Amino acid sequence: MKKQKVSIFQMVNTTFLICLALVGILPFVHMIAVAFSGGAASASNSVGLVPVDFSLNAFEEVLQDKSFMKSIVISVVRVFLGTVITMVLTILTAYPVSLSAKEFPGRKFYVVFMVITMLFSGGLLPAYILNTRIGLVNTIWALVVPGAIPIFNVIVLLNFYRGIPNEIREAALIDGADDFCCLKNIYLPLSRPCLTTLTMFCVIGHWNAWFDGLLYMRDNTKYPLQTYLQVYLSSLSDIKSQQEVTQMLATSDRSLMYAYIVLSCIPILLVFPLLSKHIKSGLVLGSVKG
Amino acid sequence: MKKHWQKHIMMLPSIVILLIFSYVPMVGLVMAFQNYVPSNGYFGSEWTGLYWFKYMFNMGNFTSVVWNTLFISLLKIFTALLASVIVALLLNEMVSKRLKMLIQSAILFPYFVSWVVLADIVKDIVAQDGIVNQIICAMGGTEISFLTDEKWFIVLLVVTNIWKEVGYNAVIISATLATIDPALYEAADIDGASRMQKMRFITIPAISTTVAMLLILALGGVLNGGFDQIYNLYNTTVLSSADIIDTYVYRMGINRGMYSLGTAVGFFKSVIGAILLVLSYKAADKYAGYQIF
Repeated sequence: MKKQKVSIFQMVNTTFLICLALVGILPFVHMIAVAFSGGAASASNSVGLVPVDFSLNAFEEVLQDKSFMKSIVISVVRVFLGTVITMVLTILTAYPVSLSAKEFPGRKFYVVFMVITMLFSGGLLPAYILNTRIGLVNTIWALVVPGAIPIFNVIVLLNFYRGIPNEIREAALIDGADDFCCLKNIYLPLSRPCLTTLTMFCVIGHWNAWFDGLLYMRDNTKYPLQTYLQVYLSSLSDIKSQQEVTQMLATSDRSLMYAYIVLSCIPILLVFPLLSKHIKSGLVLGSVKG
Repeated sequence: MKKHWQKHIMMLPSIVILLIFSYVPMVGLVMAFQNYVPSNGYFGSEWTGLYWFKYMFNMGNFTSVVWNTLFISLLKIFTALLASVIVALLLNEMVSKRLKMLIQSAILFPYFVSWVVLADIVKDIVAQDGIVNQIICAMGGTEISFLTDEKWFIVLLVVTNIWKEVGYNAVIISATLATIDPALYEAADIDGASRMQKMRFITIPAISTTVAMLLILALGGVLNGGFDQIYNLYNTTVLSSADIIDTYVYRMGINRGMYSLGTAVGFFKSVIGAILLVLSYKAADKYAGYQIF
């Protein structure tokens, strides 16, 4: 009797969760379906979850868009450069602050210095004026340097470092190792799960960033991908309301828009399985103590 | 002393970057007390004292912008957290681990997609002739203008925020659930506790610290309100209910070039925001034993 009651709960629960997961995923299925649909079907909004009049026209058109291709290149460069800079800085910074005040007398000063930047900021406009004044406009550095040191990542990593037994470091110090040596040979190899997660977060963060591109790239051939999408796709809907259905014969604007979006999501789909596997081991342990 | 020089070297690059990109803009807040003109710079611009702050408080839409920010933020924080707790608890009850992982991944996915992309999808599916309105009509309802109706737009913000955020918080809460000692449940089984009783007396107390911490830290950022989401979804018809501090500063400062007014508003936000953050960190430390460093 009791057993049956449990299984009814299980059925209801599982069905509910599956429905929930589907609701979350269906918009993306719809996106793919419209991207692969023929112009007439998608323009009349009659595509549901399966492509109607299967066609690759939209993708062909997107792939001919040279500025889009260029924006992908810029985004790839940005992801690479930004991730390398941020990870190197995070690794270096987290090590001294993870030590106790006894082991590193300057620790307190640095912690306060960093906490202040977490609590208080000059806000958008002073930062904008500074970055334009020092000549970051239209350079890739505007996208990777101002936010190069996310304090939250430092905190996650330093908590992970603290989980590493101090005896290992002390033993190495007695054997004559210096701090760089300890960091390179003890802390780095032991914090791989955490570093993997942080790196992937960094990659996705840079891939998804759009606002800094909008602010600092006045030359629109220098837009990174997401900024390009933001600006281009909103102009797409403007054009549609003005001159209506004229050039929708082969490809509709909807298919085109979704084709752009589908292509922009591919890198996320590639890292996502790895990320969802690591997210628990790496980040959560670092950020939530006890 | 010589023992520590390497540690200082390690800190140096970050300190320099923070000094330039975090501390210099703080000095730049003097713009709020000037009539800042870009060609004159900080030193050549005329000083206006508290003019812009008075201007700001006398301006009708400033109060509504602050009110919108608080309203939207609080609504989003509470709904998203509640949804995450429910999802995490239900996931925890699942027997099949494979299915659980699969569902968890599906729910987590939108978290990693940018608001630029999500907003384009959302704007398309909730449009007047979009798939959501087609479903509503098929079920006998009338079309809803999610993007242009002031009330429905807030609903849209709340729902899409849950869509994007629920997975991540659910993962954090699930991680806490995984640390509960199974012996507690076994003992409860022997005592004849029901599923609800086990949830009420074992599971919920076990996650309450984590949930409290997530809530407190989110409340510390209550003045943010989600610039990316709103900027990519809003339009002029919903400005009166959806304009938040950050979007307002952007439009005033960058679009209209009213740097001093924008900075005064930003200054106001930074000061109140810093106070809230300090309080939230203190509360998180007190109630959840969470220390940032």
